[in-house]
Amino acid sequence: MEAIIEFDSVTKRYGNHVVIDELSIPFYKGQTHVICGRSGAGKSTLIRCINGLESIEGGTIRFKGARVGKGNIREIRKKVAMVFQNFNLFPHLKILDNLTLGPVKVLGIPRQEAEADAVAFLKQVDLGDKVNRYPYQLSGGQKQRVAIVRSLVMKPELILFDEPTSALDPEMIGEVLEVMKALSEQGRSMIVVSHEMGFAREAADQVSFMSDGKMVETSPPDRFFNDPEHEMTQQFLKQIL
Amino acid sequence: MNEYHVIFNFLGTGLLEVLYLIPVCILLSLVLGAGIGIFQTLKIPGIYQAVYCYLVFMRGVPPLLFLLMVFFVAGFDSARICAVLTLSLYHAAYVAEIFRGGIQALPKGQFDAADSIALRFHQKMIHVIIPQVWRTILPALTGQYIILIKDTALVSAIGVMEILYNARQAMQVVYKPLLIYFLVALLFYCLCFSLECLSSYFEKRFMTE
Repeated sequence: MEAIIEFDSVTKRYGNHVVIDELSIPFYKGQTHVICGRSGAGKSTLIRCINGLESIEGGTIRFKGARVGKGNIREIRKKVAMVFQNFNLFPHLKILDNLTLGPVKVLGIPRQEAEADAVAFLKQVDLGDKVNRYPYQLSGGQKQRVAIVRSLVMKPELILFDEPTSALDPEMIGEVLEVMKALSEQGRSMIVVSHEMGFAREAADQVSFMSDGKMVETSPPDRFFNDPEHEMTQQFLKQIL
Repeated sequence: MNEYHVIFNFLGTGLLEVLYLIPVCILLSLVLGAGIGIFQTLKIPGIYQAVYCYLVFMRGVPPLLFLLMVFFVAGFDSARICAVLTLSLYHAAYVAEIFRGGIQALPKGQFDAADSIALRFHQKMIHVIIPQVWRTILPALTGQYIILIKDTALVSAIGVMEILYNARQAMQVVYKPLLIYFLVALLFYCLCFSLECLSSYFEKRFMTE
């Protein structure tokens, strides 16, 4: 199987505090890889290192074999999209403009084409009628679906999800997870930091448990939930399920 | 010519002078201040400290003193150009700090989102950051530019024939200090009030967007 992202003894520190500790792990193309763990385990930092939102102090991250560095970070960001916990939509832009900014300015797609593309994706997530609204006119779940569309219009090879449902009211989590499940079924490459164990069980190809900057355990969801190897994973699952 | 004509003539010419000074100074200090403010958020070693010294100097020196220093030390031929430059440089320092504060107060997620869709630095600033900063700093900017309007009275000290300078000239001819100074005050008040109206118009437009 072809790895889309490879971590090779990656270390990230904030001052003396080690957030990611000599971590090595591959993420495979076409797979949905869910990373779970307690808060402060380094999960978000881990995926933010992939598209250079955080710098690393040691080791290498490779995207399809190419080392991620300052020189090529823009090229990598074009191919690696990200969905954030707090949506981070641009509040001063209409939904349509939120969705065409990247394709038009970065990918150089003609505006008309980018708009048609955006509308088509919006319809797929049942938001076809929100094209001319502003983000503040949308609910949390709707905002997050727009944010997912913002990542899709960039035609990414990999999508990073940073706790996409953690800021949502419980009744809105479902609609976002539905969209993510559909993407997973399309065979997109996704790395998802999440506490949604239901999603992990149903949609993930791999599930990892992370603690203190290290990957404690990585396995397919069946084994991860029914027969976890590591004691820390067992304890975590006992608490969360 | 009766004495009222004389007064209105002098004050009218002064008003025309500041109607030229104010927009030019606002524009220059806005461009310069925004540039410096944005630049300072990058914290480039060396340049950051140098610019910081400029900001601290400007903010610690009375504008009249700075004006006199530039005029008499740099030896400008044109008092008007000297006035434009000093007022712009002086207020740009404050505008820079307003911009820097506005940029730093934006949620970090906005920068992350702009970076994550691979926008270049200038694209990020033009399309994502500045339009949002603009809304939040508008009240502070308005306050700063009201001070600028009032500071134009200072340039009479280097012989620019603005309202106050001409008022004193008028007084040489017609000695009516109460009337003349009252009219000067009224003119300045109207100028400041117009700016406030303009600012609240923009604020309302942003609110409805």
